[in-house]
Amino acid sequence: MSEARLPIRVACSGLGDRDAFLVRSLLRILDGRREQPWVFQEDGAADIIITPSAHKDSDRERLAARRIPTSRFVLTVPAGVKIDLSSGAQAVHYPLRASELLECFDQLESEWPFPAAPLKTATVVTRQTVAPTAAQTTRLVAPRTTQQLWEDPRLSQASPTISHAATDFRLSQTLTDAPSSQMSHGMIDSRLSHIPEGRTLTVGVTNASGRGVLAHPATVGALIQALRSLRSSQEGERPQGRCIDIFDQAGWIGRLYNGRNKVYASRRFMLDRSAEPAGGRLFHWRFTLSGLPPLSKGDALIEVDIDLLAWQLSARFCYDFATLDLPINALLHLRRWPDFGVHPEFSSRPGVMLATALLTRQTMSLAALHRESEASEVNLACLLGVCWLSGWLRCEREMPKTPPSKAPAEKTRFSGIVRSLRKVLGLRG
Amino acid sequence: MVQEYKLLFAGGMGVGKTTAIAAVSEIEPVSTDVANSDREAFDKALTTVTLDYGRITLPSGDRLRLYGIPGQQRFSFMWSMLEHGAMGMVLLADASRPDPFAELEVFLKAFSKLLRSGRAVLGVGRLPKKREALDKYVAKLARRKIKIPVFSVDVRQKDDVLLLLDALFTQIEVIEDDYRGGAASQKTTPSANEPSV
Repeated sequence: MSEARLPIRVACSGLGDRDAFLVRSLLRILDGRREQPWVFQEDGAADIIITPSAHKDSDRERLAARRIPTSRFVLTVPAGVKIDLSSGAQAVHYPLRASELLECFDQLESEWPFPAAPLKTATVVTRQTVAPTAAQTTRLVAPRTTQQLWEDPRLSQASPTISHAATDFRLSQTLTDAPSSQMSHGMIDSRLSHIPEGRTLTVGVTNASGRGVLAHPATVGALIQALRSLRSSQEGERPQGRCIDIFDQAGWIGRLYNGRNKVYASRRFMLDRSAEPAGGRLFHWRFTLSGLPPLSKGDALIEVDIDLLAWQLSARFCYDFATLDLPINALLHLRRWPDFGVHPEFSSRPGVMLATALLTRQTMSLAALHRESEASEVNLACLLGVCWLSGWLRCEREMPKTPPSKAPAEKTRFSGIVRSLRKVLGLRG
Repeated sequence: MVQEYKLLFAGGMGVGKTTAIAAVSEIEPVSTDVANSDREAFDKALTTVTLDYGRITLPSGDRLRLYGIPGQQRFSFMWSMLEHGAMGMVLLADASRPDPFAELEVFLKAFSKLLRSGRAVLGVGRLPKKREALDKYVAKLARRKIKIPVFSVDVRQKDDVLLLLDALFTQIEVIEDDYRGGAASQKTTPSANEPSV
């Protein structure tokens, strides 16, 4: 009878969101690629607990400035477990390096007793025992334990669901900046190598449905489409992903927090219009699992809604936006009006406003929309792209045999005065 | 012969109807503000008890009358009279109110005919930062089969008021299938001349 190896279960306790995310992300990278399976445990029994180090953030900053190494968090085991610490185990230092954490995992795996003890022998300890003691923070790694961390049965019962959600966010593709020696069928092969220290890893990520892929979008159009792919097909449903850091070579620093559908971006850069390059190519986005680079002074992060970011990007860098792949015969319809209140650049263009009004009231082809609205191709592409991103644009690929009839027009009563009013109020026209 | 038209500004107490009218009216709005005796409902010293009135005179001599519809429901008997023959409506909401949707609901019921015709626009002020907040208003309208532009606005900004009117006018033109004779067709080579966004 073959001996199935139970996974090494890793839990975080008391870590910040970002650190916990890093751990989860790395474990997902390892998933299925190591001899010993590793899983992140949201709740329930765990074999390894990662806890904050004794250093406070302020201490770390101060010591790091003096080039004195400090630890960010440490790997421990639940209290009361007799273990033999590995001599080669290390704390994970500040600033955070994914490679260092992976080295810890490596060390652990090499010393891990096989096979693991069955889960059914788990005993229950209280949640309080998870909190690290001063002694524990110096104990870094340990063999597995079978103790259950939380006594609340509801949490234990809920753990399968929670675990499932945690694994929804997964690597799907790696691209150019990962050496080919580390690649296997388009995926980072962690059995071959760790993520090189200090190197950003370009990855694709998927949301819960597995549809979305962020695959090294080098252009704004690609970014818009990639962001859109993170959205669910169901209107109103938010992506289930966690958090991933983003920055690019031009200085963008941000954090995409999919679950909240937000991008955190550098306000300084957002306001720095001089950074606009020729040709509309600017954002060479990279998705890194190794943490944000240090922010420079004045880099106050602002929270940007993905939709809003899309608006802004498409408004200023719309050259590549026409990459939105709409079949020429596609029938388009807008479920709702976009919020022009947050993006007046759009509303100030007559064709865009008219195209929006047309599309919200009837279904029409791209060619007809272009003809009727008289919006420029660029503006139209921007509008459609953003609405597509936001999930408001319905697109039917096939032209029906009988085109849908437009709603009967009301007897004209007010359009004459509307034209005069536009002139008086200084509106377009 | 001089034609008279009317445009409605509606919304709960304190949403900024008077301010919005003032932004576009050629005359100082004629307001009938009095001391607010309903301070429990809204902490505002003055409030409009009957109507706000503004006016825009067109070069032809035609006039557009701007009516701010009072927020207090006890004056609802006037609403149907005002709705009759109105060219459109600017509906305003204040997201910071304790129950903005309940306030909005009153107007959605009262002006359902005008709203469903599409000759209306909703401006939501004081929205929280979360963008999803606006989606709730869109969803509320959709449940009543109302599909009109919904924007986040600050009616203290004239541009925001103009944005609402611009969207409303565009809606009217599309509904009346008369947009080709309007602004868009006045351009000689529109696509080429239109500036990029």
